[in-house]
Amino acid sequence: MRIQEWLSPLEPHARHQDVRNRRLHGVGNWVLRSNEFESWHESRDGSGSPTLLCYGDQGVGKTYIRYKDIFQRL
Amino acid sequence: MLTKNWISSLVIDTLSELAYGQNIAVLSLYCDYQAREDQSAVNMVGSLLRQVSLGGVGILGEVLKSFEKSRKGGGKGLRLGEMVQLFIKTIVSLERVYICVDAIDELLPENRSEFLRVLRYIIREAPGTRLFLTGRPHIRGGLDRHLATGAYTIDIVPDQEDIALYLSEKMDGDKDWDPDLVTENLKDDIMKTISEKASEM
Repeated sequence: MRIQEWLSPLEPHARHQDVRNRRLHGVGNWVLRSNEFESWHESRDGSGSPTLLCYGDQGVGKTYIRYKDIFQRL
Repeated sequence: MLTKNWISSLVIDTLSELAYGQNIAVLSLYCDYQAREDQSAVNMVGSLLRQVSLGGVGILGEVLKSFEKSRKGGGKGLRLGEMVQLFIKTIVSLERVYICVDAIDELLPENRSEFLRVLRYIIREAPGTRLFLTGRPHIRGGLDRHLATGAYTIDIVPDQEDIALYLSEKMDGDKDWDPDLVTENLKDDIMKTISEKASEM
């Protein structure tokens, strides 16, 4: 057994590559420009929260599929 | 399709770019309901340790020592407590460690509470740790309970600019469109109408 598998069988890197390949350039950039993201990213130890939570419904994705369907029928 | 994990992968890539050349590690985990049996707390922390200890040149001494010891004893994996201690020992010399976890709601409930407890412990023991989590809103209460309130929060909603980018990409990629019939003006009109409708939802 290799040390890699001994530590963990999970391969998050493969998933990351897959998602990033399907990502559209520029989509989601508003998250990076948000005050929450900046405050979290720049926070010094002990000041501000160390945690940033992003909540999203599956509806976010569904909306896009529906508009895509409508669009294809135009 | 815009989903939460697009945001995660964007955040992970951005943090990695900003961290380049510094004493900073960006570690990531993607939770997946299909792989829920494998995604125990010990495997999750093990994956973080695997990224931070095997990412650079060679394997860090402490991790190698534990591996050799385990091999002599039959090759059994570490227990959760041992894994967490080894992880903290490994990251404590780093200026900052970003731990990004996508779709934490897809973990089994018992794994999720255990993993969140561990994350809280890691933040306490290694104050340079920053946590980025995504999930569906229904687990909000659970996250507040485990990670204390006061965390920065962003709600991912369809953004008008995102929709426009998505539509534009789809239209440009469609070979069946006749450029003489579908003028740039018509494309603009279609995009404007659909984006406005979407933002009213």
